[in-house]
Amino acid sequence: MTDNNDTEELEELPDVTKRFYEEYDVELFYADKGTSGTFAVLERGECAYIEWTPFDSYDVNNHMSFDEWGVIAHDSTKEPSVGMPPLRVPISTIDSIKQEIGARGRACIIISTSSQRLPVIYFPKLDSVYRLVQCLKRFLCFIRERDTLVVDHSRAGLHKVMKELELDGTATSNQVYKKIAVDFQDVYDTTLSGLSKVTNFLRGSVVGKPVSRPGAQTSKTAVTNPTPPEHLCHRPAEGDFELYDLRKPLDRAAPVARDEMFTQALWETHFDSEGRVCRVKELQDRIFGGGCHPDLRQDVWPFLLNVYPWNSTLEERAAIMEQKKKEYEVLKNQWKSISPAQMKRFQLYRDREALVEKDVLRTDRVLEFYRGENNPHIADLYEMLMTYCQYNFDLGYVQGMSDLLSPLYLLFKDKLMAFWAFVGYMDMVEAHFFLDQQKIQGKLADLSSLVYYCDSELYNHLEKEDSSNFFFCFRWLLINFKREFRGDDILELWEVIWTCPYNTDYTLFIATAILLQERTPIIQKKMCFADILRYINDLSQHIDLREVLGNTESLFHNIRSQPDIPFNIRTNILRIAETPLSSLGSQYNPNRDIAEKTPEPETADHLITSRDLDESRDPASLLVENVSNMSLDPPQ
Amino acid sequence: MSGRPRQNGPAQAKALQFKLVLLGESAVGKSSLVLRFVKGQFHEYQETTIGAAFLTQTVTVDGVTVKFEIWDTAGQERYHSLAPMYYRGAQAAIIVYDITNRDTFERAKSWVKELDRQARKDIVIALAGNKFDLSNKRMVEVEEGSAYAQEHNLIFMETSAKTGDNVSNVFVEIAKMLPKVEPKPNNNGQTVRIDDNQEAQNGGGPGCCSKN
Ligand SMILES: Nc1nc2c(ncn2[C@@H]2O[C@H](COP(=O)(O)OP(=O)(O)O)[C@@H](O)[C@H]2O)c(=O)[nH]1
Ligand SMILES: [Mg+2]
Repeated sequence: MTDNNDTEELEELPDVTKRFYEEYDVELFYADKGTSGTFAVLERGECAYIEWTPFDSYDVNNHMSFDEWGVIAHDSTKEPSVGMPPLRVPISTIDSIKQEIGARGRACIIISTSSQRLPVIYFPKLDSVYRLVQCLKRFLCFIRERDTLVVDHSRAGLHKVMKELELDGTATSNQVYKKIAVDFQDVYDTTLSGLSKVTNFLRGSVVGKPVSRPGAQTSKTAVTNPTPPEHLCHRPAEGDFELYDLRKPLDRAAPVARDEMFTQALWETHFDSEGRVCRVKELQDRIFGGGCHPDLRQDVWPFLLNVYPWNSTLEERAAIMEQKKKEYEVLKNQWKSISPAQMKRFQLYRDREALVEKDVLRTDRVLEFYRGENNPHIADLYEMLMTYCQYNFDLGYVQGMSDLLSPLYLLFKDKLMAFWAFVGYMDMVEAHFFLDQQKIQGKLADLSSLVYYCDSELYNHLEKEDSSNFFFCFRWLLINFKREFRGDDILELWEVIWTCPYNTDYTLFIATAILLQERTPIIQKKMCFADILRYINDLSQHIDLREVLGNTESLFHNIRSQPDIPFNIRTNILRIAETPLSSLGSQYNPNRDIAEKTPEPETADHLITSRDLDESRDPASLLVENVSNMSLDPPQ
Repeated sequence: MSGRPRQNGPAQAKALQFKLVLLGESAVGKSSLVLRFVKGQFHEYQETTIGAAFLTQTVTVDGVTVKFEIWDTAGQERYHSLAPMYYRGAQAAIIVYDITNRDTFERAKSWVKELDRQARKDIVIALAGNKFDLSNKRMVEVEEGSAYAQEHNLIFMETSAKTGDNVSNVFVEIAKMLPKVEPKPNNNGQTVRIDDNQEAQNGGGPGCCSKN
């Protein structure tokens, strides 16, 4: 397994006598740098270890000293040109294993031992982590506390129990013993519940003392008498078994009821004598909670989409529009004045133009406003999109953009306003259309984290079906659900996204809420990626917006109120200021670099939302201000 | 999504399934061809495909029923990076161009090259010159399309999703080229599964019966 020179220390140990688990492509993350290697659970003589060996130990450019790790095999006589040294930890020293979905939706664990926390370990699949945990259960007895499996050192794992069993030779019938032995041998094939049942059985029968876990409400159901496994199999999988699942699905909370619409009468109360909009926060919250009255959108949306600043006076707005009108003409004339001869030498222009032309012809043509041959509104869409190509030359036109413009033009029925509203909208979402697709990939990964956190059964199904990349949600996220809703519904949905008072990307929660609504057919019909893609595409125009928005808001609050939100969700999705994870007692801080880059406020556990901060939406000011006391910790 | 063929029981008379992907420049008529083939419809204003779409349709060729699992992709170059996810493992591809638009023909050629490099070695490719009904505005001659196809060993056909001309023919021709079930039992008394070749080539899968 290792053939390099810095492992002399390893060679002093007894040879590997048994190998229980092996996984390649396991990455150790330290100081922002990942190193790939092989992860194994093995036995050397009497002692079992977890070991990780890098594929390539020599990395001249990235030396790290691991002296402080203590238990890590490390040749101190070596030049400081050695990369990540191999890692070996006796299993008996493990205190806890915390599981998370890390960057790009990858499964990772953080192992803490009695003396330290190890670097974050990334596995190729969630399944690899499950298998690892199954394997470790031979040696350790875990108590699950949310995402973390805490080792109960007072009790033995299956392996030890087995050994006692072997020595004893009594305690249980041959038949049962064989059954256990088979499970034991085929640990890779053993299902989670299967093994845990055996474990329970053994613990109950051999150790012979009631299973009791501090704080677990299920201890009364502990098995205290030997019961044949066959019987156990028919018992509902609850009680003790539950402790072996890494996560329980988040309980569903009741949907939040939608508020009343924001009406003309209310809108009129929001102006001062010079026409400035005041109490913006209140206004946004109302729109977020109940949507705008359809007749009001024309007036409100220019503010929501940054055509006008909220604090502009009536007079200023007239001037702004005058200015924007001129600018629009300038941009329009730029492309209109390209001569046919010039065009011949202007491939980029020709390509863009061809694409715009094709796409406007097939954008929302079923709507009355765009229906019929030679409909002038199609030409208007063309003009606005061509003008946008000049406005944002680097981006140009990308498929999907016509879907964002069409509802705006239908609403304003005015090219100038529709164009600038579109510009405002594109400012929010332009990264969706970048060539590198990083933004959308990141959103899909975040969605994956959320679904994993909320419903691991659904997540596991998706992973099993090679669908955990969530590509079936690509269309949702690219154009903010434009194809999924029609009429006023899509307008209301967009308003909600634009006025979301939480410092988060609300579209991720909307997507999660819809997926949770659909989780049962997806799991029960055992849908594969193709089935799911078709199913999701076919949901188009069949989703109840009120239901989704109600579920989304309750989901958001539900997640936010959890005491154990995984690091990734806290930091990247909920954007909660984070202190280094300290609950597990460690010297090793995998987030050290992040902590160094971002000054950390005292308000570690406080959620930062703009709702708390009176119209300030600047994240920098959010960090320095002392914000609300919305604690994430459960009431003591 | 994975290219692995579905595991039909060896003796079952269930339809053979093939993964087929449509590729080609935007607006050449990929979605329209699928819609015509699967639902017999044509929408003048077929909306753009965002991400991908998945549909299925069965055809019967020489008494054998073949089920196509059809992946329709977005055409714009911008979304090119997503394409491998859909053509990976595909047993068949239809590369579409628009006979009234030369650029789309060039783009089709680059798809052929990409599949040569990246797709399964045994992939069956058809080149479809679509919008045949607009042949008065033709910019790519039939001979040109067919010569290129011959040179690269592709099935070639000019099609019209609008009129339906040749649409199902493309799929039928592809079905003919795909490795087929022998209607008669093999020496094992079992029906050879259509994808056995592939599995043997991949080092043997669970459904592989090559070791007799
Ligand atoms: N005249 C004609 N138009 C077609 C044909 N096939 C597709 N179209 C039109 O071409 C446009 C683009 O078609 P679509 O199927 O969306 O192309 P895709 O982007 O390749 O999927 C639509 O307006 C279709 O109505 C055809 O065979 N003849
Ligand atoms: Mg299409």
